[in-house]
Amino acid sequence: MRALVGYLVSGLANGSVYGLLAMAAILIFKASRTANFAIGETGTFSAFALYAAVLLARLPYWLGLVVAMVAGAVVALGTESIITRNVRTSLLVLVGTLGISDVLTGINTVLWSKGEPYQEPPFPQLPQVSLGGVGISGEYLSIFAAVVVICLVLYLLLEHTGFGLNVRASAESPDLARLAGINVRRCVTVMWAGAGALAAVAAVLVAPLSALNVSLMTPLLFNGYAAGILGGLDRLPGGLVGGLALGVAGSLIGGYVSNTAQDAILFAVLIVLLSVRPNGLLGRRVLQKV
Amino acid sequence: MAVTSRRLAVAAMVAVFAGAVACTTTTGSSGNANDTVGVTSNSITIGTSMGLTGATAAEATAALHGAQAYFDYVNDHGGVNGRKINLTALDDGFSPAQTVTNVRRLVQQDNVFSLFYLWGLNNTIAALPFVKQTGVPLVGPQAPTSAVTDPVIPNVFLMEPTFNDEAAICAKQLADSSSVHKLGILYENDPIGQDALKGVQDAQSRISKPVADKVAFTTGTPSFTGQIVDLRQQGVDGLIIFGTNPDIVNIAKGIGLENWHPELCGSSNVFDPTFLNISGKELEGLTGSLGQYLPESSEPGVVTYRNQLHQYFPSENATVFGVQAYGEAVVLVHALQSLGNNPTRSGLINALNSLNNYNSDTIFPVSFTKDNHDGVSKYRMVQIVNGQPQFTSDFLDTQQVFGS
Repeated sequence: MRALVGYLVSGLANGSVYGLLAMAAILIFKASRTANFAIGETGTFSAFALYAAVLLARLPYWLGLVVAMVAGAVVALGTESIITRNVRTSLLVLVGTLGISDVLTGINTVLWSKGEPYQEPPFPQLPQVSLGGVGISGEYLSIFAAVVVICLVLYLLLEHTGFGLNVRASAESPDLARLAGINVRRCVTVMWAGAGALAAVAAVLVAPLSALNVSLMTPLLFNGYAAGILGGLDRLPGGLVGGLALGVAGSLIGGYVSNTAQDAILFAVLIVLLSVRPNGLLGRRVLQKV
Repeated sequence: MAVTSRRLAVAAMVAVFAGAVACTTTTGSSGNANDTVGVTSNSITIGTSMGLTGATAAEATAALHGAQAYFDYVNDHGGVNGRKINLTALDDGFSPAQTVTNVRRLVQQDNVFSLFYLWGLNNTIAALPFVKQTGVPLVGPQAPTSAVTDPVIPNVFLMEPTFNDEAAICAKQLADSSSVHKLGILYENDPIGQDALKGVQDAQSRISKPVADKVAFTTGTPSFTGQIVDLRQQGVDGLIIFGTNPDIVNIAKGIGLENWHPELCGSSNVFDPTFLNISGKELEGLTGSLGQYLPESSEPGVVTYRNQLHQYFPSENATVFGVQAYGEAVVLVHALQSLGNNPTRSGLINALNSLNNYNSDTIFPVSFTKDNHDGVSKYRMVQIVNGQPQFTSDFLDTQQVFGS
């Protein structure tokens, strides 16, 4: 029983991180119907910005967090303006963001690789608790709390405000939205910036768990996108649900089926699931006139 | 128009394929004719591919500077029998595919005499088929895995203990501890971890305690709680951990969270002082083995390394990787010197095969034979005390320890 609780705790902690990245992916998909594979490196860049702000410039943590989120937003906006405004096809946008990812890795390496790894300033933690005899660290609880709160706030913003309606309309049909007087460009800009800030939050939450280094977010990016697709790229709660489902399923498969073939089994299951529900667990079925 | 383009594309592919076949045939059939490639009257060109950008740029650069400092010193003092060593270092960004491209370029275009210290286990493994095929010497790849040494590849020489050996030594160390009753291994699910697992499995029949649990993990996983609880439930009280340094710290934190106190033994990469400066506290008490001296050592060879590093690369810090690469450069130069005025690739291979306990005072004594290219069999146990690594044993030998 303790092992089961342990694997569930791991799964929820891992899934929360995947969920944050998945929500960043969803924001970009909702705004531009594309993906930004530089979002992981954007997060790493932002985590270093927090390090610089708090430990080098001696700013208070919360101000450092703002610096990191602004850094993430600026990098994401830069990506958007360089790639999506100059490239016309979705495939080229994807390849372009991979290129930006490489550029960011290079920048992170030049700026920070000498002397790495670094100790990221820890974010404020909730008190440690015990569940079924298994200790759950304050770090995991804070990550979980952050992902739930962020999901709720963004859900309300996108589903229950005029701005959210504008964003959805812009993504659905940019030309019709423009005719209706919606500032499509501003919607896209805000969503990409929000995704960059979310990636920053994910990175500053993950970095203190181990050590800050230039490849911090690289192993997590794929799972983040997988979580978004699993949950449904057109619904923000899908990111949270997909992230937690992916994290928990991966952890249980690793614990009780095979820890060496965990990823292979997990993604095989994911493919089967998506063949049954191609729009993800929470995704809406899209009807098209033909 | 489309048809023309397609024909052109097909023609280009055929030409590329034909060229590739021609290159392969040329390289493969002219091993002896190329025995002195890269050697001129006043220079010997060697080449390496390293991740000078990317995830491990800092470590790779420290290693490159360590080796280059020695080559610069040798060149400033007359070179090797009058020939200067030119080291061509290409950046592969830690990408195995780019390592293969770089190695092909070094051999086929830059005409290096020998390859030296390729960076990265997966990178080296990716380049091995080409290296084997061409027969160009590869001296000291940073790929401590039994895949490089077993079976012996005639032109590839490893100069550090394999993860396989390190894990077997960990198993032996923990099994000999009176406070350990059951062993477990938590390993990264990649070739490094698989090599370590094989080492533990091989050692199992020669140690007195059972290995109760073997758990793999994916690198970069945010939480290890499940694996840790699982290992604890199996009664493991001696835990072997093999993975990247950030993962090992995360695991150690998880163990602390569980208020669990197993004896820990880990891969040698954790003993890098740069890393321990920020994470030594979490890893206090962890043991492991090293096949080289520590960068702060007062051993004459290491002092010389630090002095030469300071002379040629004043802003570079002494690191475990720097000591390793420097020591391997010392061994390579020693072997080249023994070739006299007519260095050949086959001569270099023969010279390395006859090295017997060659001591550079940086890496531990190196011996090769035709049947054994795992050059460093001696090691010393290390423990993290007050956040820093300290040797806790004299020289030990894997063959003596395991009686084989």
